[in-house]
Amino acid sequence: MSAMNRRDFLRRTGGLIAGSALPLSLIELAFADEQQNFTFAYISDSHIQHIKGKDFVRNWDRGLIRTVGEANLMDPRPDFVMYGGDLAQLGTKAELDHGLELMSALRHDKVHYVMGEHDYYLDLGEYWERQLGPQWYSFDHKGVHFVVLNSVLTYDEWTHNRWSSGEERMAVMAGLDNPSGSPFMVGEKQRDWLRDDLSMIAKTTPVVVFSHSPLQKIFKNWNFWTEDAEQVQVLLKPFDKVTVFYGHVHQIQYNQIGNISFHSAMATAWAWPYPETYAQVDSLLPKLTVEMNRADPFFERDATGWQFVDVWSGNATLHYSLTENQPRTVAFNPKTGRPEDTVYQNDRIPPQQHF
Amino acid sequence: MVRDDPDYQPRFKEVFGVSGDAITIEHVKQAIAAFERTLISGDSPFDRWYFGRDRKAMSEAAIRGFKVYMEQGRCVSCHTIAEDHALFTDNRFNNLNVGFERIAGRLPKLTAAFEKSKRAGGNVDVAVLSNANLSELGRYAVNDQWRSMGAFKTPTLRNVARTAPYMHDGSLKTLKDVVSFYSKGGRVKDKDPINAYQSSGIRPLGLSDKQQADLVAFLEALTSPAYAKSK
Repeated sequence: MSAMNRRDFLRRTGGLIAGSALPLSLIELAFADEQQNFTFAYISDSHIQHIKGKDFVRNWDRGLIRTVGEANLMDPRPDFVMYGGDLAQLGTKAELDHGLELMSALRHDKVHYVMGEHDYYLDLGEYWERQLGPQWYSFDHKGVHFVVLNSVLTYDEWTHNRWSSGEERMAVMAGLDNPSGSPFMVGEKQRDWLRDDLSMIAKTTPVVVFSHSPLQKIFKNWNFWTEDAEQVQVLLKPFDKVTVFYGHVHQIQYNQIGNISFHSAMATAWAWPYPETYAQVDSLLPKLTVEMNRADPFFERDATGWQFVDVWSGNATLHYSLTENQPRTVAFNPKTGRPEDTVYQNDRIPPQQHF
Repeated sequence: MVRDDPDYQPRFKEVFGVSGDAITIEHVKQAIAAFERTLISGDSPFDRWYFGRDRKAMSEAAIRGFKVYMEQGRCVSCHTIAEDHALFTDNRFNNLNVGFERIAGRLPKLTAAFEKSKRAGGNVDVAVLSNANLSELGRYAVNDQWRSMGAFKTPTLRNVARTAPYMHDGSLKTLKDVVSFYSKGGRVKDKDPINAYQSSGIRPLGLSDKQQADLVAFLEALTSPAYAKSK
């Protein structure tokens, strides 16, 4: 068709889609009757890595840039953004600053941050805290109580007495399968704070908890693990509806333990294999989880992504936006009382088992 | 669309003797099949060299270019070559950072307006064919998935030396330009911006001038004699 023909055609059919954009306020009005509903974007594990000078690892930069670009297209816009931890790779000022600069391209004003071990173990969260505030805190939004924990603490002896420098400590904690590492934990001080915080909340209030490591035990060698997970779960047990979100694992996982639904966030940086397909010792990968395939290394973003979440009903629906894969949705199924993949749960396609 | 198009109407009348509602999908299928018969390609220097094992069928430069194609150039990952045939496409969709800059700055408004119109029953085919900005949305306009933002289908490379200009918008004039564009990770100039939605298979390749020239020689070896003669 020539350009002239296309224009003629347009006039005749009247099937015009406006090329010049409508004012955004008009679009938002279309959702005015759903004000009780709300969505938040959930971004995690970007691992921004400094090389030297102004050079950062391109691959990890691109992951976060892509995610911010996608989150900026959400319509209606999310009420806020959660960042699930590991913004930096080795916790340096340069990495945190650069990561926050990339995050500043978000069109959304309010971002809540969770501490990851890669943010923490260089200076025990000092610079992070100066930029972003307390390492654990809570807030309320449209009838839901949100709690953010620092779950990547460990034994004081390990943290303070073993290392000649913060760099050395950080390097050990940054590796998987490092026998010199140490299991993550929330710790007694923070559990006391959580008990106090929750004592002010009605048991019918939906509670949503964010931690970096899973508040359930999956695979210890990779710290897909929180040592005092059960003690935290006990504090959450009295509430009708509880959802725990965590990063760290760089893969889709979900589980139900009693009243608590668990969901993991995808990483923007890279994909980990599922421990079940890799482990030489026991892995407690939740049985509910429908696993993704191993990533195709040609596409650097394969098996990475981010998610946005509806949690207004008290139960979570996670919409995974996967850069090089079909989007997936994991939602609470009221009939079975657990989170399920809305498409693949019952017709599972076996994941790849070869490497 | 075909039934109403002023350009297609007389052509369908001439070939099939039908017009208006009498035009059916069968007529369209036959027309496309007739077109596809003109595209059948083979027996190129590459085919004779690779599948026919004729070591003299391709120049030395083209043979060196094949190595770049398979390795450092990463070409083969999308423009595929199989054991017993070569389509030179994986039929996937990728945002290469071509032409996207014109809409990158106002994308949130553009997609919001587009989605609103789509929900209201607007015709996507018409929109993307008639509006240059919306056409840059690429595959996203069809599937509404962010992963497909600005993504266009991998084309075959058969006869590619005869099909200039290149890329979905015809913005690159020569194969040399195209190879340089890929080597710079999806840039015409070194400092051009990369849009947020660029495919993660695209990255700077750092090909030398010689490697780039060899790669062009290889691409020129994909022309079928029958196709060249028919043009």
